[in-house]
Amino acid sequence: MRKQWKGTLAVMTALALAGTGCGGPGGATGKGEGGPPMANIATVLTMSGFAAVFGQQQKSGIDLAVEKLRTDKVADLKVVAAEDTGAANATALNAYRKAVAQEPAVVFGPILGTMVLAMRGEIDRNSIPLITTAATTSLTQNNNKNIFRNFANSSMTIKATAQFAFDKQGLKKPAILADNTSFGSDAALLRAEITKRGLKAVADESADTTATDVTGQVSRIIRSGADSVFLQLLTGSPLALAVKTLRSNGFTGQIYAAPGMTSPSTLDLLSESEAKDIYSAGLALDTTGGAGADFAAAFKQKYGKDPDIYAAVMYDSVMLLGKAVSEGKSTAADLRAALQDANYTGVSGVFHSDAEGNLVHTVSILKFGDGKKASVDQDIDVQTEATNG
Amino acid sequence: MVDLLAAGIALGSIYVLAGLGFVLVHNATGAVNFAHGDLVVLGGMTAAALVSTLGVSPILVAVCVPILMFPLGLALETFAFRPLRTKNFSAAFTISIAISVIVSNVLLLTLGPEARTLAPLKEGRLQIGSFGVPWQSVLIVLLTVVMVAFQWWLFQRTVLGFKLRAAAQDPETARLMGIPVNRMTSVTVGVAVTYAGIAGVLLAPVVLLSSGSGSSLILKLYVAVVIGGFGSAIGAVIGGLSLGLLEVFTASYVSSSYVNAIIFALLFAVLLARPQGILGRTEVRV
Repeated sequence: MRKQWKGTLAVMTALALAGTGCGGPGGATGKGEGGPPMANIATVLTMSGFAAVFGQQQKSGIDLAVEKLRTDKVADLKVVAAEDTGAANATALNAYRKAVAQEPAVVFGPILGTMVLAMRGEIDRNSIPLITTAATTSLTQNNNKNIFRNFANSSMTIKATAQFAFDKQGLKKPAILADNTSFGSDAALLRAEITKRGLKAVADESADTTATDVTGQVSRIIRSGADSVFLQLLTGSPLALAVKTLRSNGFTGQIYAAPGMTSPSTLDLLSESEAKDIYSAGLALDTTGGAGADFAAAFKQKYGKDPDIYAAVMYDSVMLLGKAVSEGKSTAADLRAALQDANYTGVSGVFHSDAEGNLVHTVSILKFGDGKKASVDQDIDVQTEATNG
Repeated sequence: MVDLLAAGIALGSIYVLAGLGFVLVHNATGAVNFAHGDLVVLGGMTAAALVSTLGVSPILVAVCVPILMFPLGLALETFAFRPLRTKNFSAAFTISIAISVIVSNVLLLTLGPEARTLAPLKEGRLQIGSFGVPWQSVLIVLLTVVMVAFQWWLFQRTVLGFKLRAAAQDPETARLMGIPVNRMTSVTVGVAVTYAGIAGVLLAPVVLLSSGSGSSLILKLYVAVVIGGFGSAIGAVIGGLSLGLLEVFTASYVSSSYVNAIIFALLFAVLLARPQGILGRTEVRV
């Protein structure tokens, strides 16, 4: 009996080893027998902690795209590791190390810029491309070769916002409320834009990512006589809290909210009247028709909730990779080259890489109207600084 | 100035309301319950989820959620605090951190990472001349007063209260006097967790609660209770209100960047000058 049990165990072990590939570096890449071309990917996303709302949406977007590519027999992207960064940089770094041990050809990284900065040395050492939504501008600077950003960076959104708010709308007395993340520290770029125009921030406030009250900050902003407030707050919770407090304390100036404003989870926290007339710079996910609507419907059907723009850009990034894999590219070097030469139109817009690895270059200035619906007020191409709309 | 005062009192009342239960657990079990912030969040998020997903009436939820949290308190005392109560301070302290992590992770897994909110029990603002304050904040302050009064009445003016106090202050003597100490301690923790539920339901419309909100809330509660005096309900009131006012006025007149630094500097100063807090009793080591 004991011998039989041992034999079964040996067979199962052999089958398990065969199942994991055991094929050395690269794992299951290339062309599957009779199936579509294959490549390995890994996700290292913020699935818990204060930014989990973004990480979970992004993971859903990735999984949906992987499934679509497989169903359409375009490519078989195997998720060889799905790690959670938690809320600490050290955890994120360990999660990244664990993921790359599975030899993925591409890693999808977290939205928090400080985490990607913590991983930067390892990313360069491993030479495995990492795709992230983190807006922290410096991530893709300083001879970056492996980090690709599938979202407008803070420098772009702030530049576009400043053009719109100061040059077009003629605002003169801006106030700033920023959080204590690296995303919040990008408010320095806004201060530079304000100074460049000979203006001065009449109030410059900060808030915790876990803030439960911003009455003091809002009171200071209102007392300063600000005609506008710029909310450089990453996550939906403090962003919604700031909007609620500004509204309930009777702030009458214009409100410019960070891209997280467009997330359904942020909008759920606000009433129609609170969200109305707020401006937000970022990417627009048009769900009124075409590919955007199909994506939103498929997402809702699978996960029971609406996708946010962060899910959409991750979906697009996987589809972009799927296209490259279908053309026979499967290694980290192949896919890095494909990302560098990217020219792809997805549900969230056009992706084409610049020398630094930024895939997105058009920033939409969105304005919220009735029913918490955002419409594009103006599209600004930040790279060429040519505007249309 | 008046609006800041109102905002500070409203914020302070949040700390008071949540802090009362925190003090109760400490008095009954001797444990510093680091899970209390997460229990407040559990109450608030459960209420918000019941209203938004199942369409349950907000008033019904406001009544039922705190009541349902009473047996949770009994269970926590029986299965977590009691086995470790007689061991040592660090065991009880550690188990409360474990409960905190478990509650926040269960919330993350069951209700998701999104922050949740409830519609205010009463919309709009109380307007007095040019000064206005949201009705929900008025409600929080009023209910905090009611809860403080109820706690005082329960513990100072009822037979049950005498038994609860006796069981907490001197369990051995209370046991000799025929008081069922374990049952009394469980009831006290049950009341404390019910308070957490009430705090959660009232806070959900003004504080956006997510699965990770408990840890930052407990830090502020701890500061408020230490400033007021550990173990004193009135101390929790003074500490909570002082903290709320300090936060709002510092952010408004000094700088929002230094709020936390100033709060913890104050905590440091209070601990140096009066380690037992404003109303706490000095314990003499023999």
